[in-house]
Amino acid sequence: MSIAVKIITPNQVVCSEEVAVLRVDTVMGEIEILPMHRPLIALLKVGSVRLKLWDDSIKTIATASGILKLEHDQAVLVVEEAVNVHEIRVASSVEEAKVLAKNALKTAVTRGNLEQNELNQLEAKIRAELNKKLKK
Amino acid sequence: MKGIKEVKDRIRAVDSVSKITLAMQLVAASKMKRAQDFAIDSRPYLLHLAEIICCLSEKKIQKNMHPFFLPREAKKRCVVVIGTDKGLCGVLNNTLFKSIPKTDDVCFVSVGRKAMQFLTRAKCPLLASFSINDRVQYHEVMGICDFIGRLYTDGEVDIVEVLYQKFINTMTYLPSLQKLLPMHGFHDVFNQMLAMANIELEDFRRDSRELLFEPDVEQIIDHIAKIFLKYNLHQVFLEAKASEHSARMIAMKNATDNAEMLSHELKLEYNKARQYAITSEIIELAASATENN
Repeated sequence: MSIAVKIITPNQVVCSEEVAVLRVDTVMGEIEILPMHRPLIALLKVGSVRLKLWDDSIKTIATASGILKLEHDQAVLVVEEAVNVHEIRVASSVEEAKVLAKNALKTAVTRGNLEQNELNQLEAKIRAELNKKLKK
Repeated sequence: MKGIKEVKDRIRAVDSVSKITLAMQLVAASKMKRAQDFAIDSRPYLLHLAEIICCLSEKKIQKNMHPFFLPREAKKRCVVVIGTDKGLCGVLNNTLFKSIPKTDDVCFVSVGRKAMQFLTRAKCPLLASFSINDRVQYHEVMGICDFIGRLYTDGEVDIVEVLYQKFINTMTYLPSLQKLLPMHGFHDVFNQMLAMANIELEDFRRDSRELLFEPDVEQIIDHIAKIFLKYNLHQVFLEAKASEHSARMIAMKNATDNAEMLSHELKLEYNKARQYAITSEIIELAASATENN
């Protein structure tokens, strides 16, 4: 027995999983849902949804306000925004940002030389045009 | 036959026009892809909201008397007409404006510059004119949503409908008049949505046990009424934008094709004119040479 959980936002389906236990933050407080639960419609507040999978790992998803509908062990969470907490990798994103900055600096130097050439060409063009105009 | 110089000038003009239309076609194509993805990706959200409203069943909603769900005598209608801001999108706006209802009990809200221009020229009672950019941001939708919600709850209008080009695929769009408020007869709306999304009703299995509500039915209905109106309108805008960019892409593609064809014809004409000039020069030379002999 498991619960099929689907988290849907206006932009995408964020998550679709078979879970053993579902824990959500409703406006009345936190509730835990097990398989064979009675059908339920609940208002969700801004908070987190915790999914306990069959391998005992826990998946946390941060959600905005929305509605939960549970029927026949199928839970649909219709929320305005949802982010998988494990996908927010602060440390690695900082490292990535540093590497990106370094590469950008390297390419910027070479790009700078190129731009100088382009600038010279442009300047020559403008001067030629200006001469033409002045002659007129 | 036209002079060589005139034909050459025309070829140059046609070529530069075809370059511009080709650029516009490419821009529209990339915008179209994004708009279509947005429109299609956000359909499941609305479908599930609609399904929850169906669960709440008509009886429970009527007992709770939320103004958005209560049908009342239709004395005055309000139609939100969604046109485009810019032109060059073929017959998209024209076919839409042909289906504008022309009775005395209708007032209008326009979205997009073209819709505003048409309604003011036709001297229709225009209550407000909004504009939505390509990204369809929520705060823009919220403004329109609040406006029509207030019109309806204050009793100034009894039905709110929206007229827009529904996106079917890149070549087809349907001008459709969809009712936003009141939301009664919801099962029909839901069935239409299912048909659009190619989903069978059996996918939503019903549970015979009694439904639990948390915290209570009133609050849930109040919340769902507001967000359904908002996202229904949001979806309509996304579909309208997808249709707009598809129509513009097709229109610009046709324009580019026509320009290329015209350019080809003109080139033939130019070559003929050039050949004619050379031939006549040779004849003249030959004639003068024989005379000298």
